[in-house]
Amino acid sequence: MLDSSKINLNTAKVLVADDNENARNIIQDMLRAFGASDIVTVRDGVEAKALLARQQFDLLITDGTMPECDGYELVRWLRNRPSDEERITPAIIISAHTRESQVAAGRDCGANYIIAKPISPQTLLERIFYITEEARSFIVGETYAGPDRRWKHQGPPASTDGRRKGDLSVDIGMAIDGNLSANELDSLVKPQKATS
Amino acid sequence: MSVVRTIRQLPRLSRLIKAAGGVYARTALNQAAAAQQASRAEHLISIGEALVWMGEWRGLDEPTAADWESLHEASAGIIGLCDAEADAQLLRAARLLCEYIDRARNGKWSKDVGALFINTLKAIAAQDADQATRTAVLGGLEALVPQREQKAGN
Repeated sequence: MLDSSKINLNTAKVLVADDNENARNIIQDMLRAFGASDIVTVRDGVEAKALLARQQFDLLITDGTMPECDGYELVRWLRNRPSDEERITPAIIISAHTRESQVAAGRDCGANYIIAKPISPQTLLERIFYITEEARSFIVGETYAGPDRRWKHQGPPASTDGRRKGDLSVDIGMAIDGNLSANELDSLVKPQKATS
Repeated sequence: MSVVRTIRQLPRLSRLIKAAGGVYARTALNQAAAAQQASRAEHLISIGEALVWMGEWRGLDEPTAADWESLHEASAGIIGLCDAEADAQLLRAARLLCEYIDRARNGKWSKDVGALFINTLKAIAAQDADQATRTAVLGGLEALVPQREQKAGN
């Protein structure tokens, strides 16, 4: 994302679901700063489902952890809606702490991105840009519906610097030690007999 | 063999975002930073309230699973309100508390460890604490938690 990139969210309809009022306000303030004006906020996934079933939104931003219906379940539900237009609604999950038991749900729910709290405007805006610029296919299978997860090698979307500073190439310099011999390499990978 | 269908249609947002008008990314980010700055005092008050609540939590005789869940929620709330740079140590301590509560689920929580976290969060958030003190307090927490957990039998 470049400083000179333009973003127009004037007519975009955004749904924000978070059980924490402060968190809802933070996201809402950021979206307004990005130019969005049609923002609907709800306190939980159940309320979000009811709204999504009645009207089309252009972007869903949801907390991962909410009572009754959490963000992962909400996105999974959205990805299995009957119409393709609903299914492909961009969805971003925001999480303060992902529990061990939620890691698989996060991977499999079909969200476009998962962002860690505290949210920075830069990260949120970049992710919105990525969603709209990336060429990832949306796939629907028996166990997974969502953006294709096999996209690592495509790199970041065109006209972006990369996702993290670490993505940029770095010079690691020359090797300090000499190369290992073939025997030494073999001994590293050969199965060893257990000593009893 | 399972059938996988590919939808190549782009979301409506892809079209809307490129429509004429709108704002430059830099302007949008500056506006968002200004909005964040305007809410900072309010966030610090909410963090303070969460820490007061945690202080009361520390007084519980035998915290139940629901009490630990509430503590996790309060700590997660603090994470959401922190400024990633200005509150780096507080953020790290709150994350460690969430991780501890998750790690020790199945009833292996130790109230002593919980109290250690709460004391640390309060010490880091104290208005008169400077960065060096905060870093030292956080270092102490990181060193003590594994010992206390071991002592508690986790």
